[in-house]
Amino acid sequence: MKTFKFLFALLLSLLFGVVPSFAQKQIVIPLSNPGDPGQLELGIVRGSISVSGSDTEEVIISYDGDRSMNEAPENKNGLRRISNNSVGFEVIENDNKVEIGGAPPQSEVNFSITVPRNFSLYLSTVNGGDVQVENVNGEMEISNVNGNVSLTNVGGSATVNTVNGDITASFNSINRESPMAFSNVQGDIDITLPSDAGVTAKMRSEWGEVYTDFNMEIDRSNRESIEADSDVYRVSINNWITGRINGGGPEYMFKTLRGDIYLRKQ
Amino acid sequence: MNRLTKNFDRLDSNSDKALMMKVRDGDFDKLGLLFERYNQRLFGFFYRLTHRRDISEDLVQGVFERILKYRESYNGDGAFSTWIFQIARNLHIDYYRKNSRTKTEDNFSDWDSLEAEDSDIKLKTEDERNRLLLKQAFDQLDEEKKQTLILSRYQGFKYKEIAEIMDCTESAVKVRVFRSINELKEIVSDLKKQEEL
Amino acid sequence: MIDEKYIDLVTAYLQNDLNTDQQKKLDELIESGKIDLLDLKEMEIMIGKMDSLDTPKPSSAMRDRFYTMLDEEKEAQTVSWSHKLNGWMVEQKQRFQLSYLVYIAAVFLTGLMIGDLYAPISNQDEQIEQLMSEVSQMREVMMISLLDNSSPTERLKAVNISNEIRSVDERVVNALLKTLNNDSNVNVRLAAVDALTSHANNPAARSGLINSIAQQESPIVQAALADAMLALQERQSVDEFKKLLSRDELDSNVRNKLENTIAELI
Repeated sequence: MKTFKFLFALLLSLLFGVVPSFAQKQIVIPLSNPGDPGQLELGIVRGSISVSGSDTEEVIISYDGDRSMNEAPENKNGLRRISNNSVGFEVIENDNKVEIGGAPPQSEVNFSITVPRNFSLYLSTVNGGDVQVENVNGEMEISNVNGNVSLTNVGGSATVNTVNGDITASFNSINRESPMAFSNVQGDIDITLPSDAGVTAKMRSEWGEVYTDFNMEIDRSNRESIEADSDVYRVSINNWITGRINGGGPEYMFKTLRGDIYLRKQ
Repeated sequence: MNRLTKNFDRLDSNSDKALMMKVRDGDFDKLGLLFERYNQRLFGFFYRLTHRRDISEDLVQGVFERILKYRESYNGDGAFSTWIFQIARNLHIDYYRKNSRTKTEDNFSDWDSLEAEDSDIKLKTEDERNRLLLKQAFDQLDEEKKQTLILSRYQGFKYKEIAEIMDCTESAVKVRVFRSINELKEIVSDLKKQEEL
Repeated sequence: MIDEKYIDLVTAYLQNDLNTDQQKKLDELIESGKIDLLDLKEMEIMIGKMDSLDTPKPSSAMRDRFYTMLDEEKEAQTVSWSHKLNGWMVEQKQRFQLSYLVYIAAVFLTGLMIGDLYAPISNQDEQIEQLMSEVSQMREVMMISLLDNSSPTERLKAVNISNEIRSVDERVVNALLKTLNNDSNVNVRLAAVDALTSHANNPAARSGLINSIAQQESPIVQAALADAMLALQERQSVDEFKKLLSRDELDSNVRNKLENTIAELI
């Protein structure tokens, strides 16, 4: 088992004046088991994340930092700053698991990453950008707070949540065993599934509408059987629309407060 | 011309056999390895016969279901590759029998060629047109000839192995190969004439 | 067209499999005009053209489907030992192929053994009953262990499984509460709210939900808890919601919703 460990102090290179502050930079991470499925983990506070799958056997990380991180003076009272707690991140590869960590919360970094097609993604950001994924097949756990999430041409399974932003996802294949979940507060949820997807959809928009072009068998009694308790019965009727597509399957949850829900057939 | 280059490297049939023996004895994870080795070849075999992606994928799944179901009957005689293609061939025959008379087959069997014909007009290059002609000609062959050619040309089997898979004599295989190539030649030139008219 | 009596030679040539004798013979036949070189070349070219036809690649759904089946088979295998017995018998059959009589004897003895094994439990209902309770226990164990899985999809699956358990015990409720309060994934927590609500006839589930309100940071989970409390008409939750309302950072949509919820509960 190989372990690669990289430490990138952006500021260091800035200090030496090698790279201008806005230039896109690139790091290539070779995988321990090229060709095998892998996973990528990346959590940042400020910035956007874009991941796309391609016929590569490496993970290629491009990033740009914003100007704010080098605004601090390089020299202060005759002392030269050589390390800075506010910049730099770390990439660790271990057995095809790539983890990007340690990005400073106060600086904005935008990542654009290319991964092999069979990759699972665990991505999160909070402010300052969207999360975009395309052409990747695997398990995806994506979370954002103030920004959109869009998955294009993906396969596998996903759980996505954001607070203020749209969720858009188009799956060209799904893992037939896995449940999925999509939730937000303000913004639409727009999901496209393969036409033969066998899915039990559980949907709720509090102030919006639910639309679908699937032939959906709406089930209003799924909870009745569980308990005769009238309160419990109310929960299912008032809250959720449950419907089976193509005979039903794993549960897909769609929940929004202020947006509309679109469930589309591919 | 680079004569008779194989489309792929022949896999080590001994190790396939060893894997299958383990599957037979209950080590199901090894079937995953066999799946990785064979899924594309099987898919190619079915796709060339059916031109339907969905059906081909179903049939590939069917092959592995049968392997699991009948794994105990695997005795390690002969190459694994011929065994798995025997299963594939039988499955296709079953499928063909079940669907040859139903309407859905009629509606969909020409899916791919319809699509191809649609874009026919737009095709510019001689090369592409030739390829399309060959494809149409190939579809006109009978099932046995198609299978023989696929196994021989695209799956890299020797005549003797094809005989095993198709349960006939080696010389019957050779006759089929010989005749089907000549037939292909004729159909292609017929189609070309029609096109020129 | 080449005469069919030369099929052996021609087909060997086409497969690039001529031995020196055959090669010599073929050369002679071509020289003497018995085999037209043009015909032979035409056949060869035909074959070359065939190589230009390519097939698409199977979709990743096919692979997913296979591995799903494999997993199911693996599970089934551990349950059904009759299969193993079958395998054993086939093995024996091979071992004793030469001595057929010994094989017959072995099968006969095996038959006697099976007869003995099955004799004591002939009551089918009893067996089914036992099996059902085993299945339900298995579900519980599976669910609780799945809740600790690192994959969010698996944890979502676990929460969904809990909906299938008819009467939950303390262990299940505790596991769900732990998930509700600690799981890193918003959607998993959201599903846990729903699962616990449907088991609200269990006092621990009910009070656990109430106590969790003030702990939740995610707007979507806060809103879901408001829905749950409203459905359960749980007045004890009002104080907890007021705690949330006192937080400055509370999402404005959620604030709105909580105020409405409190108004409806009082």
